Amino acid sequence: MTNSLRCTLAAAAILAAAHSPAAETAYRVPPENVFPALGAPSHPKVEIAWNRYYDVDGLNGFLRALAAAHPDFARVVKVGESHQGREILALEVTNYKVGDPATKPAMYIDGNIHGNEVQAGEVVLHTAWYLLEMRENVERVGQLLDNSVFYLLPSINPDGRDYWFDNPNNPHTSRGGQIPTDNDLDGLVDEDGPEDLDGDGQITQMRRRTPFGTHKPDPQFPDRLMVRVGPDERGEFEVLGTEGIDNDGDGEVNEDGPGGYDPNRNWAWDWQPEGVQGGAHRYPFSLPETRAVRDYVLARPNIAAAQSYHNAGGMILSGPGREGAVVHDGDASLYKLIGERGEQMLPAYDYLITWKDLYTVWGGELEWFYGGLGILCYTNELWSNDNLHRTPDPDANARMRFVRDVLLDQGFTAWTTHTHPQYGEVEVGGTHATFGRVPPSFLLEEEMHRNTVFTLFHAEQMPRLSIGEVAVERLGRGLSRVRADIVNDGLTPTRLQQDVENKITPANSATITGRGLKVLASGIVTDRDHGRVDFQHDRPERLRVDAVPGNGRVTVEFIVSGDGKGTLRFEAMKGGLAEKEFEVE
Amino acid sequence: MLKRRAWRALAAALAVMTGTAGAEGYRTAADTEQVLRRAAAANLDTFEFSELARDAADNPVWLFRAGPERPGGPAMLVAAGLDGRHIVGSEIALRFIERLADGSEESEKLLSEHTIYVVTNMNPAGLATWFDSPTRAHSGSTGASDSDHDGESGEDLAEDLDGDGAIRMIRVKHPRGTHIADGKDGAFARPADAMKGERGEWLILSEGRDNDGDERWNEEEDGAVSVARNFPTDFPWFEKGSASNPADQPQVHALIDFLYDNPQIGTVVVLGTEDNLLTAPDPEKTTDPDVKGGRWGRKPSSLPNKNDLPLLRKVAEEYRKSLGLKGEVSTPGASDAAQGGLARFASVALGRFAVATPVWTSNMQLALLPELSDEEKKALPENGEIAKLQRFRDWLVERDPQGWAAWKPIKHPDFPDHDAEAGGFAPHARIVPPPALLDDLATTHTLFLMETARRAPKVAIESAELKRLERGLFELRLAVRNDGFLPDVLHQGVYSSLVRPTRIEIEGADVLDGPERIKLEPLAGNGGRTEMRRVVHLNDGGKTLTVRLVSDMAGRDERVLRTDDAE
Repeated sequence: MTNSLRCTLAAAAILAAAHSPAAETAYRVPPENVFPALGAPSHPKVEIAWNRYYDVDGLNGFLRALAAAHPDFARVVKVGESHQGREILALEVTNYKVGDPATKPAMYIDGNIHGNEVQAGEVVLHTAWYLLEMRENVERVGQLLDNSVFYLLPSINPDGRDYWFDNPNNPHTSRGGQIPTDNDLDGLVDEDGPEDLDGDGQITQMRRRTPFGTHKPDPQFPDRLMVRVGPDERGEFEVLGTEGIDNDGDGEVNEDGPGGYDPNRNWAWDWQPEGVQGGAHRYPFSLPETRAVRDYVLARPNIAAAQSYHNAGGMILSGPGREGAVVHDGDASLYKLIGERGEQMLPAYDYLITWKDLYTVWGGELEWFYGGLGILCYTNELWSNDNLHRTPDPDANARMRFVRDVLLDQGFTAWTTHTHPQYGEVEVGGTHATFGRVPPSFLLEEEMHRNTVFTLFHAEQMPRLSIGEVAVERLGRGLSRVRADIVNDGLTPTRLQQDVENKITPANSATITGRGLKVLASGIVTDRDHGRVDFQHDRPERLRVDAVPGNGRVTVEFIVSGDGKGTLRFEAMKGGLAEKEFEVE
Repeated sequence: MLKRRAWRALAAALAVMTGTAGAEGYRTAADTEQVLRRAAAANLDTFEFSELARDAADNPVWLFRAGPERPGGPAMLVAAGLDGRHIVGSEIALRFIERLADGSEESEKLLSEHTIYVVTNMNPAGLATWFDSPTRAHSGSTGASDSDHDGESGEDLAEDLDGDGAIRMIRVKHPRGTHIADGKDGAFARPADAMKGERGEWLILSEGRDNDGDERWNEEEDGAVSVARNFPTDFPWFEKGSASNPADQPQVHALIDFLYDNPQIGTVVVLGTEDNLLTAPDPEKTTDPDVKGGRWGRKPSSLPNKNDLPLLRKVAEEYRKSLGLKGEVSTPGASDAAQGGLARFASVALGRFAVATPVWTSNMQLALLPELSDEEKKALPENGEIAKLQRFRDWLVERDPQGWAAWKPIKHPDFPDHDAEAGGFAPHARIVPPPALLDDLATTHTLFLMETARRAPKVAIESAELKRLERGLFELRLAVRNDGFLPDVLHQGVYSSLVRPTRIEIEGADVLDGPERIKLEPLAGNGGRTEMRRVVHLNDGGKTLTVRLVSDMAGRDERVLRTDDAE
């Protein structure tokens, strides 16, 4: 968004608030004139237009509005502040009237760690909106809010997001935050960023006419695109790169712009310093934003699933981020199962493994969630240009046809001539920041809904614990055997293998309480048919259980003395709580 | 000037005398703070005492600066007291400060050319436990933690079962015994060798009860977070004492930030449990990464950079020589300590020259003992390790009676029906020397630290002149030299992509044949030099141009050239 457009919109908002004649002409459709379409509420308490993007204040304003409109289901929590002092907010969504939120399995979802990957913020906001506004219309949504918690952080890089909206950029700039950085090691920080030479509010491309050029006009779009010439040709243009000048006289253009690091290389698992991983910043969680998120996550040990949103490419990514890193077999199967289900929900998306199918990432967020915390986490690269014409891999001509025919030339600046202090006469032009990595307005809502429901499917696979029938068998001499199945209806075990192997969180526990009962021994039944039990040698009153497998059960057994009513309680930090009463008669 | 120097020397000497009231032994945090404050107060224009950070328990971690702020370097950081057991490092660092503050000509000269930062107590909470009773081996910070990840914190700590004021070892005669007694009086134990027909007799445990009945003894002892291993390179995930994340201890990330914010610190010395001086890295195990290629596709390695290793090995050799050692000495636990260690991080990640020594170990002491006669050798136990332990024990008991306790029968509550004994080395006996050795160790180490500071790179403009060309143009001829021992940028510094190259900046003229800010290739130590020529055009009406040599850690230089002087 350009500054002038932003001012115009702000002025419009003020006018509307003042009940000006312009506001009175606005039409708000009466509820009786609305017929609901599948997938969205017809009468949401909070109206959000899903065909545009919102800056940080916009996103945070909607979070507050949702919390105000749904006080029993949503609360705003401040996660921290960015380098420039912008708030990082979370909306915590659950049915606060059912159960203790701290003991419900939780799903963490964030977006926009890369400032330019803006639609990630809208997808997380949409998830919040959908959960809250559809909870009475869709039974499964209501159940999710009864049984689980969602921690939703639309933008964890608010400085980068607003910089992308407020300043000339291209689709790839403003990826990081805004801490000044000396990227070219010349002792100066942020001294050579791009310039908007043609004043169109965009950072596009520069080219120069030359008889020894490497490029010539594209036959289909001679006024817009260029193609590389063959070895037996001479072109008309040389391509000079992104729009800008050499501000610091070092012979390089745009080599040290604002910020200049990558917040998604600043997480602790497999973190590597700048020499190996460009943009790593100083040390794991050295950035105020990632550190705030770390502290927020560590304070919520009930998180059992996680999701981060990026753009672009249409990918559902899982770890590991580097060759040779371990994702345990059982965890890998679950990753694959949920990821492949995502492929069905998200046309043009592929389930991929980061290092193998994309590139190596050292110190990524996804890897920290799995490796450091033992939590299954996906990164979705939102939006694929396959959606432009619903054809795979559109080339430059196809993309330009979309600009010409579907966007009616919006999103493209024609080449114009300018004088460059170092290059002389140059031409500046090309597609805009908003084309290529973020969807156009009319394709945005589909992107958001499909990704929202992918994460809801993942959330449904978090552990769902219950206790089967508690069987009590008298053994004589005042002793009884109490045996029960701990059942997990979710596909996610109560602790992933990564967690169990490394003891990241304590083992699950089964306990029996009851005034007249005393636990003498406890164990896990390993062979129900032959009565084999793996007894715990110490502290029988608290039976440790590594994990309850996904879509499976663990049978626990207690030998108790005495009689009377008792309660069998099973606790799993990431899997919630299950209790059942029984009686020894 | 003489008067001022004399006063400063007197003030410094007074400060040191007051502060060394307890210097016969190891000093507490309060004593240390007093010494630092007084040293700084007596040398206001040269020394500075400040707080680097507060640890997780809100204890101050001090930073002492000797020498003025020197933006272009050279500067050195000495860090000690990272491992709570390692009070000797902390004490030597403190004595180094006292030496720098003694007003001597040598100290003043050093500080006129170098700035030295010292952190004496990176882990104040852990160091404080050294003075507790019973004495216990406490490497981490303090506070109960769930180091066995069973959901309960601090439920199985060590106990001083024999009440001798130290947590030592227990041996229990037990059918599940794995060890047999060996050495003089059966004072030591080693695993039974079934192939020799030996059967285990003793269970060897640390002193204390199995408080939680899980048949593991004292598994939550020293369970708090290891500060010494909290740095990000090769961080030991999920090991006992590891924090939940690297660099999450406040003083650790404060120190890393300090190093980033002070690029003039070219050398980092760690007095702690890491070691690359007593045992220098193996020249066969190095990395030789391509520094010219881009960073895409790079793979991490924590091995020393092959091209920098000769520098480190030379310094290590000189260090050992200064201690009187004839060869390398192995430092048990040093490879573990390097995982998440400061020296490894400073070297691998930051590209600084980083050396580390434990200052003193039982192995080092053994290497310094006189050669045994053949007869004496024959009298030692056959097992080499037991022989070393026995010889060290015999040396120790003469100097520190508490360092070793003979085995005495006790009643162990967990083994009421079995014979049990308590005894063995005191918890720090093999890594912290008896106080009587401190003076000598301080002397050798302060000399070593001063010499290490002097090894910093030192770049200067060797010559700069203008040669007149036609039409108001001049040729600038420039030579730059490094007279320090170290290069201005190590190979690992280049690879780290964090150490800025030495730069030439030209003011007052346009450079016609290249950029105005010129980055130099690294200059080798001991006379490494480079020459360059540039065609320049002086700014309107200008008669002079200024050439600046700017280095992050090797000093700065400047020449003003007049066109009137041009040939």
